[in-house]
Amino acid sequence: MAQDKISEAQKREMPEPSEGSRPIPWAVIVIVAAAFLSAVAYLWMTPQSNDPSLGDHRIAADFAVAKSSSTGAVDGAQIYAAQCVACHQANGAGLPGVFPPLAESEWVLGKPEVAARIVLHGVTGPLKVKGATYNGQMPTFKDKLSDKEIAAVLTHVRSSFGNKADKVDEALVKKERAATQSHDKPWNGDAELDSMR
Amino acid sequence: MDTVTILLLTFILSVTGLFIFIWSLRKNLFDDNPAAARVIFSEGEIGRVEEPALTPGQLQSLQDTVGAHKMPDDPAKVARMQAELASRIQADRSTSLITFVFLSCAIVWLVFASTAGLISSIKLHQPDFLTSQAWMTFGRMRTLHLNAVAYGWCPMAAFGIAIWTIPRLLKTELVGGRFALLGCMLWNAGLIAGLGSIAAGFNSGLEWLEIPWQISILLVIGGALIGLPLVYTLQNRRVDHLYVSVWYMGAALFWFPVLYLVAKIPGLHFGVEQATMNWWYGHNVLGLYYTPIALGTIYYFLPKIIGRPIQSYNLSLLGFWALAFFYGQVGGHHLIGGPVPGWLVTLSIVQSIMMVVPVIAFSVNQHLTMRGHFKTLVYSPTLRFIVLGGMMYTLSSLQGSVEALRSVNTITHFTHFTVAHAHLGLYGFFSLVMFGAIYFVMPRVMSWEWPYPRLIALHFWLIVTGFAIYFVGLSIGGWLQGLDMLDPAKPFMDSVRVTIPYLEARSVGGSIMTLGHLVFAFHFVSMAFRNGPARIGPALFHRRTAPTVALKGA
Repeated sequence: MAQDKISEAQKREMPEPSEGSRPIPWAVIVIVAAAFLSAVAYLWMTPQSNDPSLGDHRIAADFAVAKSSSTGAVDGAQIYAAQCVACHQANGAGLPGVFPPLAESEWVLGKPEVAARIVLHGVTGPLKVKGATYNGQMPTFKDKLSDKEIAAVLTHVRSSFGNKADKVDEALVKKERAATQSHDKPWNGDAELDSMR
Repeated sequence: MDTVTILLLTFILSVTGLFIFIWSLRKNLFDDNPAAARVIFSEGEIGRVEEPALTPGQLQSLQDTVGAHKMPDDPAKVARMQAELASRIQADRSTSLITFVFLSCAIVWLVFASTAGLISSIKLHQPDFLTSQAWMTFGRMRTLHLNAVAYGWCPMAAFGIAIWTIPRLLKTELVGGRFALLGCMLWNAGLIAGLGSIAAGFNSGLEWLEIPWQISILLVIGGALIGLPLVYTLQNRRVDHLYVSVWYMGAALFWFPVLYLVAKIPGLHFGVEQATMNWWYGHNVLGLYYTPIALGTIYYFLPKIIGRPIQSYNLSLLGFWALAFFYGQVGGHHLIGGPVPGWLVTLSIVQSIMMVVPVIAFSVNQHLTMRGHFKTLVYSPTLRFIVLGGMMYTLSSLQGSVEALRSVNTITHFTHFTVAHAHLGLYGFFSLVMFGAIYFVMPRVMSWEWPYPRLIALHFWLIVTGFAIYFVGLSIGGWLQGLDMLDPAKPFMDSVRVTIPYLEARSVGGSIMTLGHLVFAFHFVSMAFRNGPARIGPALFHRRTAPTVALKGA
């Protein structure tokens, strides 16, 4: 490219910009002063709404989540709140016509082995609970929860919402898991479960 | 002492210190050579108005409104003028390739980002639009839009313009340009990887910082490499007095890698501190990176095009140092109502009020410079982009200061009003200024004139119309949404339904803006391929008396 062609655009420009030295206009100084004073006033007048003495005095250490260990006790209520409450509700009553209740349910209060199998594999298809037929889908928990956790949540369900049935221990769940190992789909409602009762 | 007293005393002391610092700069207390601060005017030369988008007739009118510089008759002056021209050509020659690479990347990202933004906008009133693939869902598409704008179009344009401008103002060639090219490659590689991971569903979950930190390493190294030539070029400078644009651009190139590095350190930020850091970064990347680069751009191109010096060095000083000082603490106003210490939020609201200071300083300075020259806007689209962008800066900043007040924020927080405000800043201000700058810079980079001058005017009117629809509609919709959400008598869904017509208006505006970007991209590509009517001289120098090869009697 020829030199003159390159400089064509540059040649026709105005000079490089520079700065004059006008003083700052009074109006600007007044606005700056007003902003400063209003900022001071705002700081002074804004109530600090969060008085530290109102807090619950917890410190960072209180929020530490306990490490889950294989020896520690598992809280069935906590598992219920995390895994079950969305369908069966906090009071265990379920939703009429949609989700079956756990409170006073013959499945919960019946054989613990069946209850364990239901939690392990879940249910699809029509299922009769307390005289009403539900046709929903309960997810499979065998990969999500350990034997100990399933035992804890079953124990919780069997002793809450007005239910009074005895505890379920880890060994039982382990036995049922082994017994139904070949089963890879959710139970087909009454068709499969009725015979187990 | 209670919290309020400590906060108040700190604030008063620090602001007083800031004003003393600015005053002492003005009085040259820090200079070892006070004469250096005396403004050295460039020698007069044959200046012509710069406007690629005009017919010769319009150009003559524009030239008449500005008035031409006279060729000096003193031979010493002529020699100095020749030297200035030589250094300008040398500076341009050293930056042309690098600037071209950056701006080309910027155009690609602009088109990509507008498309993603438009798709996101349509989804808000047509929820079933393009939902067959996971990466096309709103959550990812909107994030792709934000990241392609924030780390694609904006930085690429900003780096390109800064790298082109700085050597000219330092009257030297760019030193270490290869670092910038390498940085550009790393940056774009990181951005492509980052957008890919966002589309695949992997991101950090913090707005503005979604790109996973492992990929961000590329952006940090790339950004630092792009900043290196600035350092070398500054060491090599041939001027004593640094023009205000250099302060802004230099500070921005230094601030950004620091901000990004601190924000992305893995395993450092948790809980409330993480949220605070998130908005410290989210607002600072706007205020300490995009804003200073665009302000420096306006400070350079506006006086350059109309051929008149910036009126007040004092105002430049006040504007720059007030921006640097107040902006850093503004981010907390995003957390109003959140579980962060009250004094922190209060302080950030106060600093949002104080942001009036740099904004007024800048606006008055530009106004004084333009005064008596506003007629040029009638003739000059390039200048219109830049001046309109400057006005949008004033508007969006004042709007932001008001929006930070708790009483207003109660209504606007969590609504589309905030989205409109964000676009007023990053589009109305930053992008418009960059468009104007690119129109000025490219002919010097390519040694080729814009092939279809009418497309420049078309681009201008498309994006201004589209953006006006976008901003006005979304602001009204957001405000109504906020009022509905505060009304306990109304169900929540009312606040959603009320926004639908305004969201549709946003999609209409966004489509027009995207069309404008396609026009711009087409024009850019045409120029890169040397298309259009070949001109040996610039489009401005149409010799109206020149014999044409057109048919006789045509």
